[in-house]
Amino acid sequence: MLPVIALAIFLLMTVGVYLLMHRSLLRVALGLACIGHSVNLILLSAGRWGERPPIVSSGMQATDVTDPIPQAFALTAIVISMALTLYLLATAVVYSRRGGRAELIPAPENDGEQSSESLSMEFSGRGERDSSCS
Amino acid sequence: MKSFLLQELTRLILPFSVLMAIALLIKGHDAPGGGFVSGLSLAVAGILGFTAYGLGRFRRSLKVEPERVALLGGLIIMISLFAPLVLGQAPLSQGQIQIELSLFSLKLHSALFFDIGVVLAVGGGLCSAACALWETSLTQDGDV
Amino acid sequence: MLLILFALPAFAGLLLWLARPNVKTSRRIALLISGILIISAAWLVQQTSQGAVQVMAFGGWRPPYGIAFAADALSSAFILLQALLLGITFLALRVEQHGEETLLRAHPLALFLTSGLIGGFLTGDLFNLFVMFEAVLISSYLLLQIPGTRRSLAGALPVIVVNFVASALFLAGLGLLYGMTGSVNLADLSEQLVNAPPNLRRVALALLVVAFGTKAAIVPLSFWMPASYPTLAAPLAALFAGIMTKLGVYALLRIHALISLDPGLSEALIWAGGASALVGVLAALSQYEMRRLLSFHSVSQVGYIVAALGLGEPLGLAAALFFALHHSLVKSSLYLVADELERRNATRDLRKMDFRRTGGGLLALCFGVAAFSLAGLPPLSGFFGKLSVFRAAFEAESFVLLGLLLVASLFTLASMLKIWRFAFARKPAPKKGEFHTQFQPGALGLLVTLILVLGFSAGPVYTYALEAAKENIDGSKYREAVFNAMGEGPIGKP
Repeated sequence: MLPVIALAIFLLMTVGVYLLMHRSLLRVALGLACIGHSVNLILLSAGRWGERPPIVSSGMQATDVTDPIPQAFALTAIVISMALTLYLLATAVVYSRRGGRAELIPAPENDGEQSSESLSMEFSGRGERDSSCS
Repeated sequence: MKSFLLQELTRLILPFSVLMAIALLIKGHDAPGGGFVSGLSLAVAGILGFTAYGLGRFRRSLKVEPERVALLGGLIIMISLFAPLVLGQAPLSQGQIQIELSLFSLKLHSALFFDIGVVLAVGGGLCSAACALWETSLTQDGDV
Repeated sequence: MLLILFALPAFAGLLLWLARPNVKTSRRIALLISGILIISAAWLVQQTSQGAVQVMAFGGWRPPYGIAFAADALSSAFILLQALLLGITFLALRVEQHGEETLLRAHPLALFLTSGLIGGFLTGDLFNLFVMFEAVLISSYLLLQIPGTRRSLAGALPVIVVNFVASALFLAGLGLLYGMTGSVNLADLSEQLVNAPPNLRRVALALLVVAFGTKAAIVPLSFWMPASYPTLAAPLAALFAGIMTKLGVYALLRIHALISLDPGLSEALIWAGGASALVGVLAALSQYEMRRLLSFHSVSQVGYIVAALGLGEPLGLAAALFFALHHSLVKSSLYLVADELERRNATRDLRKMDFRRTGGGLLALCFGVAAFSLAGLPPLSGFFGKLSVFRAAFEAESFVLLGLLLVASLFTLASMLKIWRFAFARKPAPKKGEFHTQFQPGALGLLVTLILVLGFSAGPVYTYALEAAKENIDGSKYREAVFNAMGEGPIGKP
């Protein structure tokens, strides 16, 4: 079982890194999700997952099952990576609504070239706002 | 996206998914389930609700913003963090009681309180994020 | 007590967000909370300065099975630093300058950020550290989005992606460590890893070092940093510049006992640090936008810290800790000066700044103190920081590193003189008009006072850092305190 998991970790990580190389944010987000899952598999395999059943049923000794702590780690990691992916995609959506393309490109540079009006707008926090709840 | 079929189905499904969320919450301490999963199913119910009926009606019938529900959940989590200190125990300590009813027995944990916080935080948070995304992506069509 | 430090900011943040008070009340509450934090952090520093370790175990489970918060001299120093910076940030966030909306959003988020940071400084558990990292990162992303402009949205994306990958590496390393030892408790790990298979241990620790190095922004991993805070309201940018990289530095310091098991890793840290110090300052020299210049400087300064950390020994660690404290204060105050300069001149470009708009006086004084402290001129804190790093390098007979750092600090002085020349000492241009605005030093003045205090009390602070470093290397007190968190007894409650 362990070689299969190792292969899965390898494949997910490779796919994730490949997708990260793209500019499109959607692909980047998918790549990040793949990397996250590959890491979750690493965590799970740290608990000797695949050798013993992962769930305790009645009548089993605690030593008969997989170590549950890595499962808790992986669960937490899943929650966090879900939240971050959601946030990344939401940022991409809002950004593309504002007229940008959902791509990983350098922030629009207006180094010092801004007019004083727009700068003072930015400083007083009265720039354009988004209405997102979070 | 206001289809009659979807609305009727939602009307049928919604109570059950809320019930499911509650069941997952209570059973979740030592069976598969728990606060996070329960919160997710609650959020799915919410998302189904506003997909079927539109955001305006969903907000009106919910009466409270999902964002505030999430914050309330966070507050409950914090309180349950502190509560054992009042009883002179280490923070996050737990206790449990067994309730024997005629048909089934119910095991309640003090961690349930913490879990309720998690349900509200996860459900409310996801719902508010989904609402915000829905709102942004529909403003062009003017469909909300 | 440890719980209050961690939970109070989170609690207050939640309440502020939920209750949505008006700006004045919000600001008062935020200031009150940061005041309480400063007092309790100072108390903690006083408690732990004699080598005592404060421990609190969650849920009545005894470590290494349960999760514990532990504060030794190292963590309490960082906590006090964060509490001070938070107070100053809240003081510097003003309705007149930054707008009501920014303040109302920034207060709860900055409190969440603080809660995560303090949790990270306190925790004695590697996985918990990961969770705290994420709490910090998520609040920082939300803070980055406060302006809500296209530029802020686009600027935050690379930060999110890079930090996500770094967190993934962190988790992978943590998974390997758990697979080897069956524990993520730091005190437990430092005992168990001694006998672990060295190759696997090296891989796992290298993953951790890369992850923390990314957060600390040392050179091959620093490219996300300079682009990240251009749109942030200035006091928040000051907070970020002061503390965000320090969480990575703290994590490296905290796992130093593990890193030092593998001499190759320490070596790598030394050279990465030296390279950061030089590359960062060269990049900074070429910038004409003050904020970008300063953030490249952060890369350079973190380089000193990491190099000192890699040198190991009590001297190196003490230098790293002292330098981290000094750099946070100085960098925050320079960001505040940059904001004031940009606002008076209505431009971010140093070349367009005008002496008469800048005005001299107090602002110039504040800048002078901070800048020459950064450059390391004698009576100021930077001098002692650099001196301690150089001394560590000298004692370790790492003369190449010493040379690198000396060259880097010459360039640091040059880049500070560049700002001085463009913003303060330029010949008056033949333009007419009165631009001078009222300047209330407030928060900036406080920061500069703190720098001066740090400079003049360098002796005691350095002694404190040396004690903390010795304790960190020895680790026996920490281990003993953590393992005995519940007193004598069984593993814990059922």
